[in-house]
Amino acid sequence: MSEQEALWIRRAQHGDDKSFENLVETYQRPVFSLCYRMLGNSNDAEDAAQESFIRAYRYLKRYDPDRSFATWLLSIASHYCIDCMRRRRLLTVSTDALPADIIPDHGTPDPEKELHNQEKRALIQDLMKGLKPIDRAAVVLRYWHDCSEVEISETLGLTVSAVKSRLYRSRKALADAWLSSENAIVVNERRPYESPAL
Amino acid sequence: MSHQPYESWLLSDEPLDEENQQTLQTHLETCESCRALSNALHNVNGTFAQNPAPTPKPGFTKRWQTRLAIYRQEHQQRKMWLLTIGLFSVAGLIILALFFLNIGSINWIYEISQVFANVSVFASKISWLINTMESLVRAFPILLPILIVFGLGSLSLFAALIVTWISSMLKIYKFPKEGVSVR
Repeated sequence: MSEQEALWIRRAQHGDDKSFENLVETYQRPVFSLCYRMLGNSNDAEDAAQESFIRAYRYLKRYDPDRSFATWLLSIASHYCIDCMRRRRLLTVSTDALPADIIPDHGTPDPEKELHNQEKRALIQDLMKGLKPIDRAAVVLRYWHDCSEVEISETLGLTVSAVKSRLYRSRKALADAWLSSENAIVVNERRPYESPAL
Repeated sequence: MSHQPYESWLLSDEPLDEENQQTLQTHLETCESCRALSNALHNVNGTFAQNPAPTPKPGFTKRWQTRLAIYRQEHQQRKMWLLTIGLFSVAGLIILALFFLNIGSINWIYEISQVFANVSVFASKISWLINTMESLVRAFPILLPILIVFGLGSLSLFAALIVTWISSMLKIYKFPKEGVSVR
């Protein structure tokens, strides 16, 4: 956390809204990214990210400056997303996750590259949909936010050994899902050459 | 064939020492199941690593400011409701306490007769007012349209004030809907 961010946090804790807006501007991307990976579509991710910042704003006075602000913020976002998934039973990818609703990363997107990225996102969501909400949060934090096991344990309120065990189980589930998807592709590719059932 | 400890090594995040790494490589050459697991994990990791982080639509902070304004309004309305309910509860408790404290010293027949007496005094005053108006109109017929206009105007003004008051109260106390989102 930079000096500037620490200053914004201190000012925001004393009621300076402009400073909190600067924090929203700075952290919108990681929070949105976490929510997107957890919930699987950009509309729900936007809603969850906005709500996470509202909660952070409400409880900012409880924030301990000795802790990492990013970890604290991601903790709020991941708990909110876990609650959403449990409440809405959003364990499967919503049909809202259409390619058109993702805003390209750069100003001038290459349509082919963007399509490729969207296919990858769909594949990832497909792989992740079998994971339990907390396991999914652990995987997202580990792979996309480069969090250590200790940081994940702080973010999700788990012990380090529980995080290890959840990541282990999740990797197994992801590998199994990958193998199943490969098998499905092989079966689909074979079909055009099958002889008609006459 | 046993896949342990190879499967655990593959699925664990812990780095392997050189000897175990060599043992794992030798096992992978002969075991198809562990090789498939290793390849699948490699592909999953690769897909995760290559996938760029999605970004929110432009204007996220602006939308957040709007949402914060809605949150504050909802918060204010909740506070108003709590304050009103609290005040009514306190007033109700005080009335109940006074009632139960004085229940033994109340003369019910006297109190009820007082209510009837007050109502009859009020009715006689209204009757006197109407009689006065009638005698005034008989003496000066020109006053009749003025009194009608004045009476209707006063009633309309009173009705408008009541409607404004009720609508503003409804606006202030309108209970917030859960899960309001602004996009």
